[in-house]
Amino acid sequence: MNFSLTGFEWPPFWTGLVTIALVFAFGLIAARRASAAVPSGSQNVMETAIETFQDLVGQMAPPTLAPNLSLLALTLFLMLVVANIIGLLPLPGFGGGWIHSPTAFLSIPSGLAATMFLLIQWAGIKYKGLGGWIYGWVWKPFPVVGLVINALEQLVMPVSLAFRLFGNILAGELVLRMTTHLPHGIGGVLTTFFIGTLWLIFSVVISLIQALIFTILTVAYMSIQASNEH
Amino acid sequence: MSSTSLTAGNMIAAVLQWVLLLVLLRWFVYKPILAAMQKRRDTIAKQIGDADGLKAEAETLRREAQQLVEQARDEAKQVLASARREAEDQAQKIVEQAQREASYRQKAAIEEIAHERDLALASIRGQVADLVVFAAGKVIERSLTDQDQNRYVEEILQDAGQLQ
Repeated sequence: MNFSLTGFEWPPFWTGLVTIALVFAFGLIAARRASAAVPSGSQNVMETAIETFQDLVGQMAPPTLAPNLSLLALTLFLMLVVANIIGLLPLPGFGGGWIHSPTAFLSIPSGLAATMFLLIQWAGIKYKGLGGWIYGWVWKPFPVVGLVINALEQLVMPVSLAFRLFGNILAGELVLRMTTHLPHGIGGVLTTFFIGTLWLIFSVVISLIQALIFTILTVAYMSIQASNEH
Repeated sequence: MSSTSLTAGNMIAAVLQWVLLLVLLRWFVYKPILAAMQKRRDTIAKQIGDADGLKAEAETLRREAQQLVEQARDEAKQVLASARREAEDQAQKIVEQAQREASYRQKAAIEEIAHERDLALASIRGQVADLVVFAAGKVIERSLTDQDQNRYVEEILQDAGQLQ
């Protein structure tokens, strides 16, 4: 792992663009004829998704934060789901080889996790006031020592978010590619087919779960920061 | 392939992509769908309100109709009762009149019979007197004057009346 200020990897940028294009396209189809009558098809899916996230976030976040946070979380979730699954498709990648998920590049989950960190702190400042936020950082659970504890807790959170997502998706892709390198011959083909298929199903499930975990943890941390009693 | 390297450009690009998606979805997807959902919620709430109003109205109408039916039933009962009473009165009257008439006719018949009998008796009395006078005259052969005859006849008749 190395950090670079100037370097840029194009494949995750392009797959990222494809990801948001796909999500946006689906959203447009869903909202194309948004009607107040009985909804059908894609509109129904989108409404269900919105309501699910409204319920989910509404249980955690304060009422003033919940409506906007639920849409923010839903967008994050949709983007991560498509981003995670895109690398499992049998498509040529940008820059040779198979396609990779944008989330299989450490930079992408890290950038998102850093943004989530900033959002979480913003929620703390907004709902506790600057003084309350600083007090919470420095004075809880113990005066002054609390700063060390909180720094650890708060900084570990985005790092764990980023690495959990990155690791799961990268591992899923690597194992899926590995199933194509099994021994040759009819036995190898059958093994590849069965193990590959099983792993593909598993990876799709993992993609969904990891997208949900990233989103829900963000919402949970934000809700904790936004709640006054902590 | 350097998927484990952290590049600031990619981090920022990813965040910008997410923000772009957020803006696009917010504007073109969430807004119309949320509006549609809200509108549907309003419509349903309004329909439920309307349904409550209609239900109350229907209840009022039902009560009114029931009242009318009961009123009509009472009226019919009254009409029937008064008709029966009238018919009974009428029958009573007819019977009374018939009885009255019958008793009147009976009385008239009795009176007439009595009258006829009196007439018959008077006429018989006259004839008997004549016969007696004729028979007595035959017996006595003009021995008496008309005045004696008349007095005599009276006496006989009185005796005859006492005999009766």
